[in-house]
Amino acid sequence: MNDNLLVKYLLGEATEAESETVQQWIQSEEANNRYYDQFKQVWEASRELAVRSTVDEHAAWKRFQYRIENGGKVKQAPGRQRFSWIKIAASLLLVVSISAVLYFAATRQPANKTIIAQSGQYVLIDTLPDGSQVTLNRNSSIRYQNKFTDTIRSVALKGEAFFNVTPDKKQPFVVSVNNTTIRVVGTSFNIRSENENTAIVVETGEVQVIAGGTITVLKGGEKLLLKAGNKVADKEVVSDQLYNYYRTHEFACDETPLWKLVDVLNEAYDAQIAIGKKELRNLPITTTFNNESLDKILEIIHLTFDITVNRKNGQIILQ
Amino acid sequence: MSCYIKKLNLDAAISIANPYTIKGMELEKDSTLSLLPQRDKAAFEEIFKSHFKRLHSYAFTILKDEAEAEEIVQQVFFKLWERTQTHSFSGSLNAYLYRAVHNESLNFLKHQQVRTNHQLHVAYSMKQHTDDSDKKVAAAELEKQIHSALNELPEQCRTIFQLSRFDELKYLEIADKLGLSVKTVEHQMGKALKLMRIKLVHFLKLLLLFFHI
Repeated sequence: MNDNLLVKYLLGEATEAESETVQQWIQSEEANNRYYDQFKQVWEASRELAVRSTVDEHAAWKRFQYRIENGGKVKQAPGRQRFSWIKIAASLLLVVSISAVLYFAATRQPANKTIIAQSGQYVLIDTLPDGSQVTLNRNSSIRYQNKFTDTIRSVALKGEAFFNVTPDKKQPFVVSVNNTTIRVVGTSFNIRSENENTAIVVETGEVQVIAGGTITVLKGGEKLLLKAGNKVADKEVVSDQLYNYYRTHEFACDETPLWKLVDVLNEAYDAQIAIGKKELRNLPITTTFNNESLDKILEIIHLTFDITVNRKNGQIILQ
Repeated sequence: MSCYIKKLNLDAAISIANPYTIKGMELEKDSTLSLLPQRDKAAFEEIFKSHFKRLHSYAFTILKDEAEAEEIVQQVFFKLWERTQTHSFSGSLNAYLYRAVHNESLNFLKHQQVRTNHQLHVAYSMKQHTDDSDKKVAAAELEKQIHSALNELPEQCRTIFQLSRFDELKYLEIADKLGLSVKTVEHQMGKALKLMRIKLVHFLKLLLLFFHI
């Protein structure tokens, strides 16, 4: 078989009679078929090499005119790089300038950068720019500027945190949480916000809570509850140190009702403990569980109060 | 003088619309270089613009670099411009331009061999990195082999292949364009694929082994 005819057939240039001849030849033997296939492969694969010029012919003509006018001298073609010492020097200068800018940018303290400290599954302890220490309970976060340059030290809180604030009378420490502002000078306190409720417990010093158009002053051992809509409840005296469990690793109960302990245990251990009998809810507990496992705590509850602990499908029911 | 050029374009347009009704003779006569206007810039502009993209694509398929390809085409036109002043030519304008672009491109490659090899290597190996499946690596390798086989074809073969494969012209259209007989085009296309098949047959068999086992 003539190669020219094969190619003619492949390209659709063959006459009907020629096509018939070629088809017969291809089908007559497997070797012929393979031979034709190789032509086909080359032809089809070569299509991949096709390039369409994307250069505009009018722009190219303008460059050509420049060439004519300058007796064949070339104007810089687009995208074409030629070496010249000026260019190398310019590049070096550029590199040096960029490096210098980057160096100064890196060594200078960036102004007002927002920092977000976020705890996930674990309690997180963070030190603020002024040295104040924040202990974030699980799934909580605080946001603050990397430098306290303002007239106040401002921190925004989500979730629960215990603050131990470095004293500085000139620059009060202010926490925003749930539309509430807590203003202190130097003190330690706990803030817990859940849904739209906020609980503030002061450990030492004095705290001003600004909410719902009133200012409430809290002293050590006092507690304030803010309900949704910033309704300020009456001050309470802190009855136990249970709120502090995530920081102290202690469940300190002091005449604490069982339901309250159960709530904290559920939160601390991601457990699903329920009280099966209504009369058990307010059973007062006075004890401290120190770094104990949930099983151990439940065991102690069981032994102390003669309460049965039933486990069902991951749920724990106290009866 | 520019009326000749106008007629050339008109004929070219007709030949694409209905290639089988145009007599090759008349076209061939009109597209001869001897009729190129001497330093008629407007006429030259028309020639330049109507041929630029195809010639640029041609150089581009050889060089695989857009900027270098344009430089080649610009040089070819510049030489043509210079010569229209002092020489008279005979033969097909298209054939001259394609031949010049082909030869200048290969010449350029020869002088830039090290660099271009490197460039091609980079271009193809980048392709291989982005397409990591075996099949795509093989396809990229085949493309590379075809590219080098193409660049080794004799000029007329290569030009005709260019017009047939990449510009998708019919044998008759190619014949008209280059002032050749259809029989010559047929023969040159057969030769082009025959030479490429010989160059690639070993690799094609390897590919077959690669994919069918």
